[in-house]
Amino acid sequence: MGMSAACRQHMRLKQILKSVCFAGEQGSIRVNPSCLISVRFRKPKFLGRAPSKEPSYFAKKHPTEKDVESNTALYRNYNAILKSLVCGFQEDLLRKQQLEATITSNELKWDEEGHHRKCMSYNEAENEKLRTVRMERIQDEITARQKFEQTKVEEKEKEAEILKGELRKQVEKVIEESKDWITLENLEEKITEAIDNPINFNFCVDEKGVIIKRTAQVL
Amino acid sequence: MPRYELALIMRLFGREKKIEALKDTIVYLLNEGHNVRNVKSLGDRGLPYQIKAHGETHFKGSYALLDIDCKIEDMNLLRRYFSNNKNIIRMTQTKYERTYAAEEPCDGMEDVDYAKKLEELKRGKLKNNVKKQSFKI
Repeated sequence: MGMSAACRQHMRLKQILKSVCFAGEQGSIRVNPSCLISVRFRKPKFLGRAPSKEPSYFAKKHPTEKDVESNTALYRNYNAILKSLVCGFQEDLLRKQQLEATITSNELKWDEEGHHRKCMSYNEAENEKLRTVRMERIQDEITARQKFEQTKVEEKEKEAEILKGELRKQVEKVIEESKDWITLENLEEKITEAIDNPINFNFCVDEKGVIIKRTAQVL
Repeated sequence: MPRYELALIMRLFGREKKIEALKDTIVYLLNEGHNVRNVKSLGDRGLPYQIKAHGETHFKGSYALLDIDCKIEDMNLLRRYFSNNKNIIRMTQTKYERTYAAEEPCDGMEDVDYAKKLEELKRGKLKNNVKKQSFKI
């Protein structure tokens, strides 16, 4: 039959209610308590699966970059408005205080110039103190840097001297060796020597490096 | 200039012709400006495998070692010269320092106290630390 699931469910419920209830007065339903059984029917399928059953339902949603941007903008805007309001109230307060002060100043005669001079002298003294401290610090830094550079230069010089000595030794060694090198003059002697005395590496060696056995070179 | 060792396999000659062939190569090296420190000959030998060079197959050859100082830039020229030289079958060059590198002094084997090791094994200290090795076949 062409009946939807929800409709079928409804029909079934109606049948059950007929068996349980009976019509009393007009527009009212009376329940026969002897027939009443506590039944919990299946949830209709059209409602679908509960969203809280999915694992992602309880996952924490962290704020994205866009959220952070929009929130910061909102926060700043709110703060600016709040500050402006506070400033407005503060102005009113100050105005009230000034009005009260004018009344008292006329009585006390406030020495503005003397107070200014006092403040300036205190300011200069503090500045000088700080200047001396800063200059000492800068000088210390300069001396430390100079020392560091000097030590670096000295180390480099030492290394260069050591290297120079090693190179000199190498050169002297090569100069001594060069006496036995081949030149155009002693060429024939060296070649004839080499060919007359061919070297043979066909031998086996003991643990201590002593030659045990030697086999002759055969063509 | 780095120090190289050239190993030459030369065509099998008589004594006098062999001297001449070596002489030609050394004179060429000296004229080019390289240092030749030493010459050694390893005698005449059978080659480990037949080598084709200059349109001939060679089964025997005479070996020689040259100890030279040479510029790195001129090494290609030198290689070309040896490939074109008809007296020479094959040439290989190696760095002298690599072949004759001084070996590091060895202090010998370390003494192992096996009794102590066995006790540790019995206690199971080492057993847990040893990883199971898997060998691929």
